[in-house]
Amino acid sequence: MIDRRDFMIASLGALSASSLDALADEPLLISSNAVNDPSVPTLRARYAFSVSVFFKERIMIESPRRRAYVPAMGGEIWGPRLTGRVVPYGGADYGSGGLVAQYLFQASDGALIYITNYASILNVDDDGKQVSWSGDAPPTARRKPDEPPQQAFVSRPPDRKHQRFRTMPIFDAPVGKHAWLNRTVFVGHGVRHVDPDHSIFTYYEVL
Amino acid sequence: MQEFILPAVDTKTLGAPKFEYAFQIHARFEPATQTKTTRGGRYMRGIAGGKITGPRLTGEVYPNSGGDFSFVERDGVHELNARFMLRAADTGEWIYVEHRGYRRPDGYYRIQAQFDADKQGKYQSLNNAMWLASAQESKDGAEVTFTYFEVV
Repeated sequence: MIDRRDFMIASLGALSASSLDALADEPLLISSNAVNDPSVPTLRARYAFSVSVFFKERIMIESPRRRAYVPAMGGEIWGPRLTGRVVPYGGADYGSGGLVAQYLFQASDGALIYITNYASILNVDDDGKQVSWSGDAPPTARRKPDEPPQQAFVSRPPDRKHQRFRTMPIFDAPVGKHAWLNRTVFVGHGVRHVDPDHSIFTYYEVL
Repeated sequence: MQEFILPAVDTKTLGAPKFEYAFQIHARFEPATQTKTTRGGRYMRGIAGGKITGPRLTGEVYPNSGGDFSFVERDGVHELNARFMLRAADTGEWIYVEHRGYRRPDGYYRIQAQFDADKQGKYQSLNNAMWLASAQESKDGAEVTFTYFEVV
């Protein structure tokens, strides 16, 4: 097992060691902007949990709708509202155009929670400003008549420094302690990393 | 699982999501029809019309262009499922709205929304954005005010 600090330095590049500790902070509460109109309510969301999902392979089928297959190898879940793991091969991103990933989480108490993660990727420039939306897979070149399809692709580093997702997850948790996930609107964001290929999702519950 | 490491979230570099108020839809609904199906229940009401106000959009709900067709769970929670059409006041552009979300007996009424607008029109920015909305129903249940926030 690699030391966490070494892993962070290797995968995030130029960040200094001191700023790595700052990364551990998570803003706990988000509020909508103040509006000078009493009839407009404030929207609030609270940090719920984060999930890391590791990927080993990425497949893209050049069907008319371009179907992706990116299976989840595993991962961890941590945060104030949920802890556990991502069940290895419990699901995948079977996206077609947009990303619709379905994964299986397992809470620390053993409960199996199904998640459908609707996501869109956006590219951000170095200042974190939104630049464009894009699909995940590189475009494949036209094939020669006898050439077999090259469907597996290595996840290339993001075009910009970061690729960021917005996600709208839907949960299916069993009756019991985690059933509140089924009745709460969530919003999340994710960051893609390469080497190893993984994404980290951060989920906020809308209050 | 031993080989997985717990990286921290890169929020400091990219910033946490922000909610920006965009506009409100003051919708008028027809009286509801409730049915009991083999799976649960449906709570359906057509959208009669409505007005849109706010910094990013003004206009009207196209009358009778859809409604809310919630699935009612056994515990009384509504899984929202609404779709209807809007027309922008200035350009007359059509905008499609879809709602997903939950309405609970305790008053929680929150929505994940999606808009479809002409990708070369004035309101193209509604398309590739994520939207949250909070809703408030009037006492008589005939009107609902949806307040939309873009997640940036």
